[in-house]
Amino acid sequence: MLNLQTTISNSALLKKRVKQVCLDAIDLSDESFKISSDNLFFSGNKSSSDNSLSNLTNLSNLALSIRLTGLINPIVLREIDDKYIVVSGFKRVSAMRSIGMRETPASILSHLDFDKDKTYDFRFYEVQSALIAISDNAFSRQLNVMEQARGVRLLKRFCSSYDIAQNSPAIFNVNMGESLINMLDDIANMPLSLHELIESDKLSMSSALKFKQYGYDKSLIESFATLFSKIKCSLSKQKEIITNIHEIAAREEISASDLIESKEISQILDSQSDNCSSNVNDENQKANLIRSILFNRRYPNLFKAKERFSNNLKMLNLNSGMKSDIKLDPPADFEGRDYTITLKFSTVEELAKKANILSALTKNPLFGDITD
Amino acid sequence: MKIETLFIDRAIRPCEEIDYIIQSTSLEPEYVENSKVVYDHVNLSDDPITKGKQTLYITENHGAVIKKCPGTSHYTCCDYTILHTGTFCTMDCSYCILQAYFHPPLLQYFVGQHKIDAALDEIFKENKTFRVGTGEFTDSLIWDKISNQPAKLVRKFADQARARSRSSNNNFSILELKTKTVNIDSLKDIDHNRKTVVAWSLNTPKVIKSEERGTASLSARLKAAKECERWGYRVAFHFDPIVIYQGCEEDYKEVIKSIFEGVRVDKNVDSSSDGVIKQSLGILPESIVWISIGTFRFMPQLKQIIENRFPKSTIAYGEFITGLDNKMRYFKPLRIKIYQKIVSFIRQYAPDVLIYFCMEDEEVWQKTIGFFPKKEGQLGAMLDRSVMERCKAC
Repeated sequence: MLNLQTTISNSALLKKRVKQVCLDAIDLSDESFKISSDNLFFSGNKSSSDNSLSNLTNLSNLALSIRLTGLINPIVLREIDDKYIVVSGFKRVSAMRSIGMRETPASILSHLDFDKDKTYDFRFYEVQSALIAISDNAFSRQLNVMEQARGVRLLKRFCSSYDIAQNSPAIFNVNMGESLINMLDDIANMPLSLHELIESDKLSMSSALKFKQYGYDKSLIESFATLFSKIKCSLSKQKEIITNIHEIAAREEISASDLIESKEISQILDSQSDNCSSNVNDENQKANLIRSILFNRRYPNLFKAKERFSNNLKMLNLNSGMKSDIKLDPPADFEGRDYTITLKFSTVEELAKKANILSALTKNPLFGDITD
Repeated sequence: MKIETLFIDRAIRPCEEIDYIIQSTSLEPEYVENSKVVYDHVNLSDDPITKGKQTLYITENHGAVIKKCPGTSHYTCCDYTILHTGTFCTMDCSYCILQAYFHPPLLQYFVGQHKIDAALDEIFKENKTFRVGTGEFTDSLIWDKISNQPAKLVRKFADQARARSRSSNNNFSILELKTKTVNIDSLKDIDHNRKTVVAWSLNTPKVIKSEERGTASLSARLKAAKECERWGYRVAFHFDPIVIYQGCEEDYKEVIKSIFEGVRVDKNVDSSSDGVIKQSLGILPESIVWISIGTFRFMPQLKQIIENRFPKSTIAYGEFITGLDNKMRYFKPLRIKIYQKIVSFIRQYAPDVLIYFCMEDEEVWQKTIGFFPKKEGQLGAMLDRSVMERCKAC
């Protein structure tokens, strides 16, 4: 493992020269040092088509800015044979190309040519390039989780988590603990489809880390990625879905993929408003339906008890007329013995009437069945 | 799990008790000035729980030697008294609460028999029955391999009863040694005066195989229980934790049948066997002081420990809800159903044996046993009565 402080002290060995570079000579397909997200400019829960539109708009704004003001910060490149790869400035290159620019000033990195001293450790060059790629972004704006994860992955090839954590304020512009560094590395090593979900806020990092906790392989994670690409729910509900799928699969000795791809769940995920009678196209609604299916299968007896209570409550007809302000709640998960009745009233007269209703309720055999 | 490292608190004076442990473990001890060295040894390892099981720290108990069993107000407690002689365990049960209870999880042996004797003498003076156990924070008999403490305690309780028989105080206390081992050799030739109950935690072979790593098999436990019965000891059984799974009722029925009808003893569990499969005799109901039953329940934080340490275990994936004491418990109708079955199976063989629940509420008692020890201390009094009836001197 390299020591980051040693790497920084060796930075003098890194050669930087600014020169005009032909934009066509830059290979944008090599994303080895890419940190920034493609959907950098968008925020909130937008669909992927919204993201693309937003990205285009923002890329066009950047292009207009460059045309108006010029390139304020030169891009950073590495020279490989006759071509260049980007260390920092992917979006600036795209923006300049989009407005027909042919050339740009660029800072070209290369390690000093040590013919006499063959002991030069080329890993320094890699780490120093990574540090530039991360810091150039991190000190101009706050990095999102996936950007941090990509940065960590670049450094983890050569440096320990502890070392990265110790130097995180100088690299990521934020203090990070060793465990967070490890978690980000775990996320970075997950399939790209999951990265996209995290970047689009459809899956949280902590939800994704459950896949690591459960030791899931790539194909199983892909199954979950497909599921979460089609639904939308809060962090706690994401975790509930992942946990229930895992536990049902373990208990029933089936694969989690088979459960996700079961007819019952697939029908919900693939349903469309215009060609499906169930009319389930809202991503929130789909999530809730899947949660219900999973809860029923994970807690069948509790589910039945809740359903039975709910049906009996309907038969008691507490929601009609004067009774509508009387609410009956069972003990949590039917573990305790205490039922709760809540009633609203605004006058003493109203309270007296409702007290009579309650009194009549106690004589109703159905009420006795419910509370037995 | 084999003990690999032995630490000894330097503040403790060398004594026979320590020499015995050093000799039994065949380990070179490392003397430490303070416990931090030991805690770091465990905490800084990749798997502190496993490391804690492989690390023995001989030290002194700086807290109370005798403690009341911690119950909660929502569920009925049996008023047990804990004799705090050591912590943690060398066996490795997936569901063991001690994994989450100790910080750090560490095998500790508390030296100082004089301190234990003094604490016991105090309770022996009281005109009441104490049911005292060493199996709350550890397994009572794992220590039998490396120390003679269990045997000393058996003698201590035997002598207390003799002293009392000469006085007007007719009450006596009993020691319960609760275990999943078959480490009973040191109990053989002791004049125990029937003041020690040797108790086994029982489960189905399926649960033992999947969840109770490093413990004795069911047939070995029952064979050991029969041996103790032959030596005049009273025995007890704890069906705790009962694990609900498909086919569990039949499996628990078989376990109960094995208690009373005997077990097949094969070569694997009987070193004295000549390879011929034998049938051991069952336990007599009158030898059993009590049978406790309790379904699996756990502090929520245990779940992740189980998932991390026992990834193949599905024990935490039952139909659990949050109980009134904030522990996870099976949905109540499921608990009641399995309890009803187990109680009825036991009753077929032993209608008079005292069966009780560990930490259950009125509804469960009423629907399974038909009554509820409502008053504070009532369950404890029932257990005391069973002690008085069944633990009279031979």
